[in-house]
Amino acid sequence: MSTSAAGTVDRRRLPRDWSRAVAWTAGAVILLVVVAAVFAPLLAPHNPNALNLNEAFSAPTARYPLGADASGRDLLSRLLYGARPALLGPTLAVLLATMLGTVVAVASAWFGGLADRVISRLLDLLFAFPPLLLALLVAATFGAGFTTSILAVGIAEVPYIARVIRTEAIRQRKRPYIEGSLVQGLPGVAIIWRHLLPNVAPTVFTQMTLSFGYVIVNLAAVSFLGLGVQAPTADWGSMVSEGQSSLVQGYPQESLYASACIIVVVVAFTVFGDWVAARMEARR
Amino acid sequence: MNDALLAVRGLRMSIDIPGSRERRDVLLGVDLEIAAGEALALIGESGSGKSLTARSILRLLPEGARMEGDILFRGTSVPGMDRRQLRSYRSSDVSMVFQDPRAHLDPTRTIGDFLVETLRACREMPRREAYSKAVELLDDVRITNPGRRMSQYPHELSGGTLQRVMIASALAPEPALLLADEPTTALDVTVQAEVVRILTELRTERNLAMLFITHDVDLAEVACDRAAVMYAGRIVEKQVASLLPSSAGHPYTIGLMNSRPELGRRAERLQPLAGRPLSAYEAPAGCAFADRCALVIGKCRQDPPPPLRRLPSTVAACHRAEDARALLTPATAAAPAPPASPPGTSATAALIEVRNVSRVFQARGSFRRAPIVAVDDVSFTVEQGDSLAIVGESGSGKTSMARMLVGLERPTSGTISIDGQRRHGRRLGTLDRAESARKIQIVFQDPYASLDPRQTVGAAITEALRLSGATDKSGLPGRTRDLMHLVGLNADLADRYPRRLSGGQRQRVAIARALAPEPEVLVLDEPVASLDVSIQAQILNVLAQLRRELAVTYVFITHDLSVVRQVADTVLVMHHGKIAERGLVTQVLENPQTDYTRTLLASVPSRMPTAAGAETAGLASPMVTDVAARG
Repeated sequence: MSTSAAGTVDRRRLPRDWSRAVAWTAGAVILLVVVAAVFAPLLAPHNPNALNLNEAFSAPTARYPLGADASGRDLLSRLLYGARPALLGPTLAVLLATMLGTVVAVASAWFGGLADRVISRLLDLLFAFPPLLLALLVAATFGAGFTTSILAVGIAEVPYIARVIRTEAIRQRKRPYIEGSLVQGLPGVAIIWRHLLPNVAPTVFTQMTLSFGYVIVNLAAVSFLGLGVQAPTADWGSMVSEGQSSLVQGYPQESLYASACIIVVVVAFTVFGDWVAARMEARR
Repeated sequence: MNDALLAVRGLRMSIDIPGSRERRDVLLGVDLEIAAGEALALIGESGSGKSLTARSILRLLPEGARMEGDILFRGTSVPGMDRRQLRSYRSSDVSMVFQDPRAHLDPTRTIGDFLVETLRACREMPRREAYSKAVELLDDVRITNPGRRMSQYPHELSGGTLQRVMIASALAPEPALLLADEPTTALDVTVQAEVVRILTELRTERNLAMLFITHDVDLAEVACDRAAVMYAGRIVEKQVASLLPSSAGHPYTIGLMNSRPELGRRAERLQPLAGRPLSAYEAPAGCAFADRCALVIGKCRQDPPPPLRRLPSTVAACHRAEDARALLTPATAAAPAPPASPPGTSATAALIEVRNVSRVFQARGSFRRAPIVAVDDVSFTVEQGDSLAIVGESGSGKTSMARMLVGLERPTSGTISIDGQRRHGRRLGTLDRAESARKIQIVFQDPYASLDPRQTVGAAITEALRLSGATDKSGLPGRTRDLMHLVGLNADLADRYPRRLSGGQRQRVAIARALAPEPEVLVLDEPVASLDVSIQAQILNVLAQLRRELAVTYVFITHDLSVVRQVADTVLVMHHGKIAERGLVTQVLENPQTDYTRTLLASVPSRMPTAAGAETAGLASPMVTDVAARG
C-alpha cells in the first residue's frame, strides 16, 4: 500500500501481463510440437530409422543437424518422429483415465452411501501403488507395446482424476438446482447428463491438463524401461534409454535432446493448463 | 466541526477489474461524521457501498482499489498515516465486527487462546492478567459461565455466542469506535435482539461510538441514534434514526420502508420499489435512483446528482424531497381477512397429512455423539387452498420438514401423505416421482444456487414443462413465455444464463420452473431470505398474485414473522423440532399462547425498544447542521 498524494490511497495489483505472456509462450511451444508431430515426414531430413553406421555418433553437420546416434540414425528426424507417440500416447491415456475416472467419480457421488464407500476404498487401493509400478505391472502382464503402455499409464492415473472429480460432483449434487430437478421428476441419468456433468466439466478439464504432464513423464518412463514403444520406432523415452549407453562414451546428445524435449513439453502443458484452468475458474 | 470522532470527507473509490484495463467506481462521494459515543446506522442494499465505506475507515481496501477523499480520526488523516501509526490506529482506536463470526475464528484454537492473544497484542499485558481480563470481557458481553467458555472451541458454541466473543475481542483494546458490518444478519431473531441489546448497553457504559451497517431500517431505528442511507455509492439521506418512519424525505428511504411487510397487518399489496438496487458503476448520469423513483422528473435525469441538502424535516439528496412524504404514502388498504375457521377443522380431506413424523440424523464417525433429532413427532394437515407458514429459528427442523414434504429426505418414522397417497414406502399407492412432481414442488432459499448455471432461463423452464407432460412439443415455447409472464419476467430474458440475472429475477425463474408441472402444493423454503429488501416485496407480491390466480396451496418456510403475516393464513411455530404453537396467523401473532412465540414476537426489530429512546433532539444533531452548512 502506498500513499501517493495526501488523502489518496492506492492499492494496485501486481502487473498480471507476464502470466499471460508465459501462458501464450507455452501455448506456442505446444503448437510447435503438434506441428512437428503432424508434419514429421515433411520436416524430417532423413528416414528416422535409416541406419548409416559410418556416421555413428556423428557430430552436428550440415547433413545431420543434431548429429546421429549409435547406429548413425539422424537425431533430428528421430526427435521429430518421436513427437508423435509423445503427444498421441498421453492424449489417449488421459482420455482413458478421464472417462473411467469421471464415470467412477460421478457414480460414487450420485449413489453415495455404500457405493461411495466401496468405490472410494478401491480408489485408495489403487493409490497405494505408485503409478509407475502399477503401469509396469500391467505392461509386464499384457506384454510390452504402445497400446498396453497407454492402458497401463491411463489406468494408473484414474484414482488421481476420480478423487478430485468426486469431490466436485458431491458438492454439485447437494446444490439446490440438482435437488430441484429431482423434485421436478427428472430421471437420475438425465440429471447427471444434463446438469451434473456440464457443471463438473471445468473441474474435469483442469484435472486433465494437470494429469497430462504426469502422464507424459510416466509414459516416457515406461518406454525408457523398454515396455512402451518398441524399437526401432522413434520415441523420446526410448531415446533417453538408448542414448544411455553412449553417455559414458562421451556422446550425450541422444539422451540429452530427448530428455530436453520431454521436459519442455511437460512444462509447456502444465503452464498452459494452469492458465486455462484459472481462466475457466474465474469465469464461473 | 472538529469535535467529531470520525469524519469521512468526499470519499470516492474505484476498483480495477481483474484481467482488464477497466476501472469501476464503487463509492462516489461519501460524507459522514460520528461524534464520540454516538451510533450511526449506515443503511443500504447490496452494492450500495456500505461495507466498503466501513472497510476504508480501517484502510482495509480490496485489491486494485484506488481511494480519494479524506478520513479523519480525531483530526488525524487515516490515508496519511504511516505504517506504525496505522497499526496503532487499527489495534487500539477502531475495532470491527463482521457478519460471520465463525469465519473469523480459528477453529483449532480455544476462545481463551483467541482473546488472550488479542489482548496481549493490543495491550501488552502478562498472560495471567490477559486471561482474567478476557474472562471479564466475556462477562461484559453477557456470556454465561465465562470461565468455562475460555476453554471451549468455536464449534462448541452457537453463532450468537461466537458473535458475542467477537464483540468482546473488538472491545479488548478499549476502542473509541466500533465498526459493525451486519453483525446480526446471520443470527436468529431472538439472538439478534440480544446482541443489539448488549451493543446498546456496552455503548452507554463505555461511551463507545458505533458505525452499524445494516440493510434493515427497523433494526437501524432500534440500534442507533442517527442513520445515513446509501444508494449506489452515495449517501442519499441523513436522519435521526427514530424519526425515519415519520420524517424520511428521500423516495428511496420511504420506498425501503414501504416495501417491508408489517408485522401488525397484512397489506393488500406491498409497494415494492421497481427494478433492482444499482451499484455505483451502473448508476446513470443524474440521480442514480431516478429509474426506480415514482416521483422522477426531467431534472432528476438531466442535472448532476442532487447534493445532500437541508430540509425542515430531514437532510436528503433529492429534488423532490419536499413532496416525497406526502406523495409516497404506504398502502392503506388492508387485505381481506383470511378465512376464520381454525386449521384442521374443515370437512374436506386434507391435501397434505403429516402424521407423527420424526427425522433423526445419526452423527457419523463418532460413537459418543448423540443422534440429532431434527424433527420430533410432528403431525399436521394442510388443506386445499391453504397457505401455511412454518416458522422457526435455525435448528427448529423447519427445513427438514420442507425437504421431507417434497421427498428429498425420508422421515425416520411417521408418514406423510399427499392427496391420499403415501409419500414414501414401497407399497402400492406410494407416490412415484412423476406423480409427486405434479402434486408438490419446491422453491429454495438461494436463488444463486437453485438454477443450473449452464442452462438458459428458457431452457430451464421448458425442461420442467416437458417433464410434466402437460404440454405437447409445439406448445412448449408458448407455455414457457406464459410462465415467464406469470412471474413477471420479460420474455427476452429467455436466452440469458442465470449469472446475468439479478437475485430477484433468478427467484422468479425458480418459481416459474416450480409452477411448470401445475403442482397443487408449492413449498417455499425461505424464498425471500437472501434477497434485498426492495426485491423481497416484489417476490411476495408475485406469490400473493399467483395464489389468487392459480389457487395453489402454499407451505411457506420462514424465520420472518412479518412475512408470515403477509403470505400465510395459518401458522405453525416450530421450536427444537417440535410444534410450539399453531393456529390462524391473526390469532398467533396477536394473541400468542406460548412463551416461545411471545419471545419470537418481541424480538422482531419493529417491536424492540429503541436505543435512542427519548433522544430525539431532532435536527439540532451536530452532523445534520454541519452537512447542511457544507451543502
